[in-house]
Amino acid sequence: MSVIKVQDLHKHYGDLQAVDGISFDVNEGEIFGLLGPNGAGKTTTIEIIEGLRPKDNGVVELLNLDVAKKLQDVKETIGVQLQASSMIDLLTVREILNLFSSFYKHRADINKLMHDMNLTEKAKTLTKELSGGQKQRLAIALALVNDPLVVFLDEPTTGLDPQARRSLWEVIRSIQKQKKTVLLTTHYMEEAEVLCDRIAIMDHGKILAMDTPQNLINTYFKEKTIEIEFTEQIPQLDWCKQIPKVESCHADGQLLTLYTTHSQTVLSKTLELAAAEKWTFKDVRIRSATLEDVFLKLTGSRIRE
Amino acid sequence: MNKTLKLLQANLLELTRNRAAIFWTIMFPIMFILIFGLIYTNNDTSKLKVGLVVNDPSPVTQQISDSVAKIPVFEIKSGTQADLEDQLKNGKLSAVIIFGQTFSQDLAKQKAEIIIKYDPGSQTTAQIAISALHAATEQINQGITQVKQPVTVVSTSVQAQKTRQIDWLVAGILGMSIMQLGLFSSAALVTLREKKILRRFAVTPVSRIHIVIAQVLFRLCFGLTQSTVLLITGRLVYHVQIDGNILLMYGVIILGLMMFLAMGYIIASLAKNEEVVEPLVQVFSMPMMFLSGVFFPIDLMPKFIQPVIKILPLSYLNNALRAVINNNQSLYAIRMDITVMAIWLVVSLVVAVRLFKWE
Repeated sequence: MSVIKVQDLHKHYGDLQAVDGISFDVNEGEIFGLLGPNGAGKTTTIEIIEGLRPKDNGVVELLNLDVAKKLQDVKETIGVQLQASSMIDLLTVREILNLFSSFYKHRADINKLMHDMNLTEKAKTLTKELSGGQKQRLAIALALVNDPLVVFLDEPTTGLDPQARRSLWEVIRSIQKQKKTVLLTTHYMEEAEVLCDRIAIMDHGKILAMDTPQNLINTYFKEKTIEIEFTEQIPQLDWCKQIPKVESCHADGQLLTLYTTHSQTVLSKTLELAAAEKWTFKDVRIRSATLEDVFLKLTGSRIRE
Repeated sequence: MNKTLKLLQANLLELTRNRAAIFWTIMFPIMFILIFGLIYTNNDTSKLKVGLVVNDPSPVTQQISDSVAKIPVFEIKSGTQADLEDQLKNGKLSAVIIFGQTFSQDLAKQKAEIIIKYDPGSQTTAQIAISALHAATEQINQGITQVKQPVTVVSTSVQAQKTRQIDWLVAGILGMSIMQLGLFSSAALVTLREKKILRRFAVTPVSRIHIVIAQVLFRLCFGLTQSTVLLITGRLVYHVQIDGNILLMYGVIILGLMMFLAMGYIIASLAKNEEVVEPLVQVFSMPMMFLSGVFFPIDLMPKFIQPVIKILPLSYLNNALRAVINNNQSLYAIRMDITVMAIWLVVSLVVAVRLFKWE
């Protein structure tokens, strides 16, 4: 069953077409990710579905309710974590959870929620004294105070250290285990790959591809990836494309990335060429393609932080 | 309703933890009162104005009067008893010394009295005057007779009925504090907006009207507390009395708070970020602070500026507060001030609703 239904959604700001005719469905119980660089239109899209922004045209339905028309009903059933929104500094974790809880008809048990989010020890701590990871867990706890059916997470792990990020992934998976549907945005490839059941890759307001992470990789990459890391910068020339059997390649600083279905031939030929140029290498890896490779192929650029 | 109360409760909880806000809104006006009070009290001790009424001129009264006049801190004013007592009640004099019409006759009977009337707010003056009189009369007592104390000093405290400077000033500082509290509510709103807490509220079922009502109720609670603390301080330290109806006074305070809160919302709409809020508030509040008769009477302002003063909302709030607190005026007497404030409130509300940005 489709929980979120978006059809031909458009939104512009002045001359900028922020969302340019996208369509997708999110199914019940899945974690659906909008993946793309900053400015791709992810946040605009998610905020239109949350009812925060008006759309220009298109269909946006949540649990078969028209978001624009039935906003008050929609708000009761969704939980939202906004990108870069802060807390009320001088309230404690428990107080702010109680406050938000009082806004809803249907309420989750605050104690259990704090326990699930690993915040029980911080119940009496002022929100301004929480660490980045704790703040983010609180933001997610706030999104769950009404025991929502659909949870929206806008860049939930941005700015967190790797450990805090991984612990937040566990939290997000636990939301899915409670039979809730999750729509999240991210610009972390790894996050999208390990967390999402399905991904829509967005750039310039359009969806470039949409599928499960594995299908995306299988569809766009039958070839293997060869990465060679040199001890010095290598020129960003198209010389590597001259190597027979190479599908595509990128030279980026000290890192050379080659895609091919004939890894052995290509690798030996490349190392031969490198030896002729007197380049020495630090590391050579042959691996299956990842989502990042798909993204690179679709958008022509890496996501930079 | 529950949502509003919970928001109000959260606001109050926050306030109790915000020491800076408490300091600036409660301690600051109190310090103003104490400092300005000191300046006036200081006036009192550097040159104490003492009225002298001699209803029975004689060498003895002349002698005593001279010895009182010799006290360097006294500035002696003479006049009729009625006139000087009136000045004492107006707070223009600290004390009045009276020699009765029968002073000489009584002195002959060895039971003459010198009466000193003083304002309880000027205890120090009274003490100095009383001991000076004692010193003066002691000489006479010793010189005239062996019988003890033919001249006694009788002191009575007279509550000033009419406005003293400090009464007038406390009412003005009350008006100023109400203005500041109302206008500075903009800072909290801008913070809520800039930290995207209003956006976070927007994705919950809580409506904007709940948020606004909670904010207004919160500011009213805060403002009424501030006003009460201010008035109690004035009462305890400088014996500032509220002559008029207390309910009417609080009514005026609430109207003033609402009016300046609405203007605070306009400022919050104009301010793009938290940094520009304070300068903006000063742009609005500074002219009123100096022109609307907080520290100097409006009549003292130059003529060309009077039209400006006539449109400033604080002028009307101060006027109404002083009318009620200092002069025991009725609601009917301040109807003009109330009307102008109500107009300001409605106009500000309309502008605020039009301008206010939730994001």
